[in-house]
Amino acid sequence: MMAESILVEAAGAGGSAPRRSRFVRQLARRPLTVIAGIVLVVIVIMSLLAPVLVPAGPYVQDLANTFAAPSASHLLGTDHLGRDVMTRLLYGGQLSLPAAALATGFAMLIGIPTGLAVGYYSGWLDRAVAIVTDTVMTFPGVILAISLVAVIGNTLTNAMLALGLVFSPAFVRLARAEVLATRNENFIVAARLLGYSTPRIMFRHILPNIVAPLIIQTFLSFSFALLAQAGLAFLGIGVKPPAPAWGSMLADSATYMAAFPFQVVPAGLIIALTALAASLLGDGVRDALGAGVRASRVRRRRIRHDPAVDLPGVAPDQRSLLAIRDLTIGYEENGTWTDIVHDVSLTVEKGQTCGLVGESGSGKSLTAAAILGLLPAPLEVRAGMIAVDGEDLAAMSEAQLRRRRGRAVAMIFQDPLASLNPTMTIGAQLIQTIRLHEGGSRAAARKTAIELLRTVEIREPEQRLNAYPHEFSGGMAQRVMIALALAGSPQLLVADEPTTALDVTVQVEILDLLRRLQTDTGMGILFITHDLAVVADICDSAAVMFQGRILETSTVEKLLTAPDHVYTKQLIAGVAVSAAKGAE
Amino acid sequence: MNDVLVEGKAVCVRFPGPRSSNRFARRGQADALIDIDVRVAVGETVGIVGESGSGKSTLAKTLLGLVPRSSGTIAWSGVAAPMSAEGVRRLATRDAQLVFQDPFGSLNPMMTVLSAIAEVLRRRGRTRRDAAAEARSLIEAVHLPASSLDRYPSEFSGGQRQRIVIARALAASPRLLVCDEPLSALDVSTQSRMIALFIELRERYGMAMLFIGHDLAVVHQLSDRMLVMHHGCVVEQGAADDVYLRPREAYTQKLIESIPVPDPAVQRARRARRFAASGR
Repeated sequence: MMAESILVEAAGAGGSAPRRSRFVRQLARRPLTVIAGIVLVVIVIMSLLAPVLVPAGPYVQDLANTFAAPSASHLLGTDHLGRDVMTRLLYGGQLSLPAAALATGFAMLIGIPTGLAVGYYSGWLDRAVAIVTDTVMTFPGVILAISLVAVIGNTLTNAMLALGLVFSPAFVRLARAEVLATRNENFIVAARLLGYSTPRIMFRHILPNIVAPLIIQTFLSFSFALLAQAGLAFLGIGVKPPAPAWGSMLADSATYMAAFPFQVVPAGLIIALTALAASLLGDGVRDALGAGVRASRVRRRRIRHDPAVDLPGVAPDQRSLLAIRDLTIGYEENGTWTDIVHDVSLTVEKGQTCGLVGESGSGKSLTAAAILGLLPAPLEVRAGMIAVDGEDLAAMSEAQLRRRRGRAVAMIFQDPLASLNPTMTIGAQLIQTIRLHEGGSRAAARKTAIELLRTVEIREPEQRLNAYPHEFSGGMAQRVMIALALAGSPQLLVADEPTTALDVTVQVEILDLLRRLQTDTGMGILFITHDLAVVADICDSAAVMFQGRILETSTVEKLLTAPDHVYTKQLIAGVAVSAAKGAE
Repeated sequence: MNDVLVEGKAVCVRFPGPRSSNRFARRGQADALIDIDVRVAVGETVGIVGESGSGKSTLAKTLLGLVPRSSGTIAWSGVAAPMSAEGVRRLATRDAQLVFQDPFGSLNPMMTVLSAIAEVLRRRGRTRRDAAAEARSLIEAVHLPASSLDRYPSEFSGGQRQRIVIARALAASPRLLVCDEPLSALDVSTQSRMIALFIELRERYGMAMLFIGHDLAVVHQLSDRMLVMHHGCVVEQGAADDVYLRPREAYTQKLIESIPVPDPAVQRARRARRFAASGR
């Protein structure tokens, strides 16, 4: 959650290319996908050019020269009737590829609209279709296709239509699941309120958003169809001799495999190669479509020196809890560095709360993330020092840093429900965290967990331990997050907009709680917010951040009554517009 | 009264009760709305305030036919709506458009701003060229550069997306703009610019507004009348100034007291009052 919001902030600096060229670039970056694409294109072109390349055609027999090994005149040898295998493979592509495409296309034609409709309408239609698709999917596909062919007649087209029918439930299920996930998005609600027709909503608004997984399924189906077609031909279904489909070639050659093992290689290889290339291409296209959506991994910083720091002229017992000096955060692209946060200096004293105020995109969350070494790639700490109680976190290795997280510094976030694991009870999450920090038995950790919940003023803590995060309101979930943060007895709590997502009444409660905990534990708090009114409530001092720089830092009284900077004045005026005139 | 745009009388919404025997699951939350009377006249702005779970969004969605009601009547421009949500929606879409809280999910990620706005206009019979020209003037009306039209939603910030959503809603020429917490996901400074925009657009297009929020101070600035909701009921309603400056109900007073102001002295004084009241 946090990584995402930081990425959004960082993305603003990156600029944006048109979507289509971005897609092509992403595709070109995947060598396997490019190779798979080239292989497929070559196979298709060679098949199309067969009449030009070998005008003699696939039926020319030479019974004097059967089972010939590969030679200059017959590149892949000859088969049991002395026909040139290479020629038959080329002409076979003209049969096999369109047939596989037909099966896939038919499966899509039936499956996708059905899946869209079923997912969109739900209800009885969904249940009825589910019975049919589930039934079809319980049978082995090829056997079902064989029985269908027996009914509708044994031609290649019929066999492929039967295969398409057998493949269609996979499309139905996939499209349905994707529609269910998309259907309740606000832009679909908006489309309904704009009075758009249902087919328009389905095909114009939902379909483009679910196309990526469908592409994978399409290429997969194509591979399956190719293989299934070979299997059917093996059983004499679909293609009739002497037509040169790949599957029937494989079937023919298998008869003589014991005596002439090379016979199965060309047809087998071309089927495997085509199926593999199609699958890989599908994977690559999906990945390229989805590229940039997923957050990237955290990357280590470059600065390395002795983490023990001495600020000149500061005795150890007088040093600040948190001292950030000249922190610069940036990313490298094509050999040049772009900085997003410039020379930030900030101090938090023990037992004090310091506010870091700014609009979204000002770099305040990035600064917070840098303290714990949680910058998302490609961002890095470029320069500066982050000293927590005399140790420079910016110079530490990941292992050293991990020991400080939760103990020296803990963090709470804007969206508590996204920060809790939805599949674990909050008791399990608390106990796990407590034992990570302090070890000890489960029973002891459980006791501590109950104590912590009581500390954050959650009633009936014994019972609430067994509850899951979704059973908590936003305010209660934030209390649980605070309890988790307290588990390591941190000296510094970094609070990244912890009340922004809450109701004003709940916000008051959480601020009161944080204030009380600070009095009890003496921890320092770095409070990140966009709201100066919240700063007025909880902070002792505050820094105002704008476009990656700190504009001014002072006590809250001075900042709000006599600000130095014109931007601060505007911020205060902005709040004043929306806040009380006669509220007191 | 033909100047009433939408009116709900004794509207109740009941959600299905808990399915599991889970001890903490939605106890007593089956009734989302209890006997709500609400009316918005042509050109009027009505504010609805309440905490999360108070039913304020459910009320808006019920009036728009996105949530089915269990009893009560709803009429749009004097025409009584049928019981089905579908039927309510068919009436509502003629007059009303909705602006959402979450600026990220409310635009189709695969459509450019131009195609999203032009689609609305084309459906209303504009030619391709007229639609493009009108989309341009709409995007300028919400103070975004015309170059925004060729871009995708992912390229905009939350506040900018909210402006795009408003432009798309305006394309349908609504007589009522329903705003469901449109400012909650935005920065304070962005909020005040958006409030100014809402006021400007309301004058320019002569729309009525149903403005939902949890911040009484913000809603007060925009509203002629206000409803304060709590646990699915209206606890106080009246002229916006009366509710905000002279609240009668304790709950309304608590809501107002909770809104922080950028003045440490005031916040300290309030804290002292709060602790005195709670006996700490």
